[in-house]
Amino acid sequence: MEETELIKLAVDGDLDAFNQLVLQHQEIAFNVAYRIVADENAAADATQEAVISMYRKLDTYRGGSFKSWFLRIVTNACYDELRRQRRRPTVPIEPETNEGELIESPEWLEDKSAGPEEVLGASEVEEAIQHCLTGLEQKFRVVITLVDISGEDYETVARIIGTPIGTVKSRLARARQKMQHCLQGFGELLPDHFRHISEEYDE
Amino acid sequence: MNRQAEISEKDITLLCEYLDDELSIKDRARFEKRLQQSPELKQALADMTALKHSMRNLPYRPVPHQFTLTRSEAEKARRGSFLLPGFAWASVVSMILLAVIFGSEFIFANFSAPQPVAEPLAMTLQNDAAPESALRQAEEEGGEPVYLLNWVSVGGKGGGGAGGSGLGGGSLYAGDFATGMGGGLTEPYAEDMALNEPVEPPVPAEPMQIEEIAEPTEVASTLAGEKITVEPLIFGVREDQLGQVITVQPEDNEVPMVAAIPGVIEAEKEPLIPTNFKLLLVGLAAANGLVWLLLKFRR
Repeated sequence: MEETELIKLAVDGDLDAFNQLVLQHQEIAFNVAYRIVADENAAADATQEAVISMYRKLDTYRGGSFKSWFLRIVTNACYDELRRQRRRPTVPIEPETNEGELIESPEWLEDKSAGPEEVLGASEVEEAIQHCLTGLEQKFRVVITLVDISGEDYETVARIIGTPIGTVKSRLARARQKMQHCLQGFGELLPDHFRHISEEYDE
Repeated sequence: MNRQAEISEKDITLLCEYLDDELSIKDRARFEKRLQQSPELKQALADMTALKHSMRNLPYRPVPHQFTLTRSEAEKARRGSFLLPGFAWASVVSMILLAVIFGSEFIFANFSAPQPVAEPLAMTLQNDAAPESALRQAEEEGGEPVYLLNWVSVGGKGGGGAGGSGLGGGSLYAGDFATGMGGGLTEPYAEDMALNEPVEPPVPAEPMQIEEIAEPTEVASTLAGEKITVEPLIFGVREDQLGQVITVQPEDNEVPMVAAIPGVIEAEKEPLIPTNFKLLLVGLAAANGLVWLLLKFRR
């Protein structure tokens, strides 16, 4: 069935049609959410929230790209999720001895966050990119994710994040610069096409 | 040396637009010309293309589960969809009403013109015995009565002129209690004007009846033990002249012994909107806002 037809049925209250639309777009929605919140569980929560929110707001849909409309809701759900994470940061459960006392200077206090080499050793360029992406400010991360990962044009991104198109342009330029700067830390471990970027910074 | 540093922020933005095919045909042609002339710009474009390519080709993560909704989830979502904005709007409307009420009261309290003389029109006798004794004394000395004007039933009519407050309804004794009548033109009804008759001190709510109108004369009056020469304020008042304007400006030291009628003054102080209503609005705004917050964060 055509997407426009599904949308019409969903707006009229057809849950099956709505679920069909969800199935069509859930992969991109989840992946955008994952790149923004950088955590699979949080991304799943944000996507589910976005789907529920989309169902509630179906009657406010005024045409245009359904995917963009859905991504806008997903992005807002990601903002909410990130806010929630800031309010309630996750704390690891502290290890105790058999007597119930806290272990002094436990090994888990050691900073084991992966360095560039370890990241590349563990996975590949994807991990390096995700590492740099997570290090970006939220506003830059969202723009570069929507443009480079989701493949949206500037105008759509401006609509999704609710900013002027000029802001999208400048944020994207800054985000790409920062990404390049971050990726230079991975040096020789990067594939060929990334190496010369690092060399430039080293000059 | 950092090659990136040689490229301005504007050029980086142009590079991005070029790469994302967001430039107009004219701008694109111009930028391509620049690219051919600048190896730095060309290199920067290659770097950015590599980054974009890598980002674009990041493998998609498989979804951990289907995000479709069941019937019960859909019903639950629909229920919450009108509750949340409902409470939010109720809270906002209550707050706006409160702001309007407090704002208007503030404006009226601070920027409206003051009511000049409310007390003299709302006056009554402090010493009830004084007029009677004054009347008797006047009769003994000159044989002429004291004029007694009563505006009891013409409440509100004295306030028509400039500076008048419209709060009529008090009793006025000629000579001694004319204070405050300069406010405006009044039309005392004939039946409210009693002359030449020692009467009981007037009760504000009940108009006095005229039995007889005598020729006016000059009399002396004693009020609260102090002898005051009272000039006749009305000359030649006859029936056909009744209803005309009578005003007397008091001397500075002739402050009449009056007391405000408590009810009148208190009525003035009463706020436009009852306090209970304001409290109700505050409560509504707070309660709706609280419920909205609870619903919002329980999700």
